[in-house]
Amino acid sequence: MSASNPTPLPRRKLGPGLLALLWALRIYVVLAVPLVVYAFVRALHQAP
Amino acid sequence: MDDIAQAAGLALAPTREEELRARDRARVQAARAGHRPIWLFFLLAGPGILVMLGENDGPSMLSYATTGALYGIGFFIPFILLTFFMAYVVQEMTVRLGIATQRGHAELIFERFGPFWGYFAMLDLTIGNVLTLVTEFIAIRAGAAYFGIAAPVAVAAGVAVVVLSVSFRRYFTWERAALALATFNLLFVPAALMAHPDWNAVAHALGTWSPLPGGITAGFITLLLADVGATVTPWMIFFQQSAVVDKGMTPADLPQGRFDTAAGALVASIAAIAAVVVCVPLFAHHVNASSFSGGTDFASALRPYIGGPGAALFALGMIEAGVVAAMTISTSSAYALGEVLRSRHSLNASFVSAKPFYITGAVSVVIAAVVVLIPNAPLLAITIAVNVIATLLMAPALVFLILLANDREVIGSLANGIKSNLLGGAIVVMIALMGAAYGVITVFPDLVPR
Repeated sequence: MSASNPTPLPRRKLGPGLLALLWALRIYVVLAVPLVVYAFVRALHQAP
Repeated sequence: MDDIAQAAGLALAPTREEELRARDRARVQAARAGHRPIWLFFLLAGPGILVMLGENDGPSMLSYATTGALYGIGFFIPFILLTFFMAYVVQEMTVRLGIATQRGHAELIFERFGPFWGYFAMLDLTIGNVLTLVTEFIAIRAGAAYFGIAAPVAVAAGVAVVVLSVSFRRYFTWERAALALATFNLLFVPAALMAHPDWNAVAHALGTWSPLPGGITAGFITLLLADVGATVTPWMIFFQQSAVVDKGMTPADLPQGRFDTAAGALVASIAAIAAVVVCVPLFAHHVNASSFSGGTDFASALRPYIGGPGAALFALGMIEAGVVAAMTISTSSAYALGEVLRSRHSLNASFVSAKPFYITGAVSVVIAAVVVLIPNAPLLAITIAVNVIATLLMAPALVFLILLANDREVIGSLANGIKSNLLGGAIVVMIALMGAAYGVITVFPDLVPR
């Protein structure tokens, strides 16, 4: 139940398609994080 | 200690959490056995309505108000209905996942896809949530300022409500308190009626998706994407799945869970459209609302057109939007942290047994409240960062949702069918692309011609 399940589920077996999708997501995240930092810094400089 | 004993196979007395959940389940079973559908729905409603009304938060209501002030009644009225339909499709998957696996979303990601994605989901959610909480307290402060309430008093009251609601250590009590407060989201409805809307124009807009004053411009695209971001966000996925689990819902409760989510989407869309309609007088009188920074600006500008009571309802609605979102968003962070760290995470748990859970919720709210009160804090930068984080990181959250909703090893017969995959997949792709576009446009506004 919600109080932490005693038996963790096994890791999902990842086929080539799913592996590729997860790598694409990793690349997306790597690109997205600097964008967030840039947006914050840029807004900081724009603040009155 | 409990975990060690359980691992050793020792019989244990039920914990407080288990006892309370069993009591709730007994009432549900009695209602079902007694064929009392309305009472049954009353007992099982909550996660869906709360997640939808929770997302009608301070920034979202401001986004809808801006829409009304800049575009009047037209394209955005049916568009908002569409966004809530999309929200329903996304959130319904979390109900099935929660019921089938009895695990939260963060926990499922961690166990099925490994620590990298598990910690990423938790960190992304926690950081995004703390920043979003800052914007909720901005809304509370702005709404209270309309009534002349000092910022420290308003913010402290907001923190007190959130902390008090969890102090009962009872999921059902917390949920009912949040639901009671969330009904005040409908304050935007009487305020909208005071704006004397043209119902023929509303019907025309619903039927034709028009007019769209000014056509398709950069401002229109930004607002369009902001309205999508105001309806579907990562914390909603994590919150509803965890709440379904904490409530103890079972496969027999799935119809009520779906109805709860649909009812929430309907009620929230009514409140959202009301927030658009209430600001139509600003559009009609050519009041420039593009530079308005908060609820106080809108309420003050609306007063000459909808009267003092109408403006007061608008300001009260903004306070409610901030408070309810603070309750749900801080709880979603606490659930996610507990799920990934495998510590006890339930609103039914005692303080002693679930210290990280309660501390996470309280600390995130206190941090946000303190930030709002810091003189010259970069609130605008934080608001922009919130939008960018939520929209850019919506794509991974939705991809994992679809993957998990198709993972028959864990969700079994409740997995997505062909129809739900086509519909859900199309919506996920659309929201992800729009979210990413919104994030990029926010960061690089010059990419789109003015």
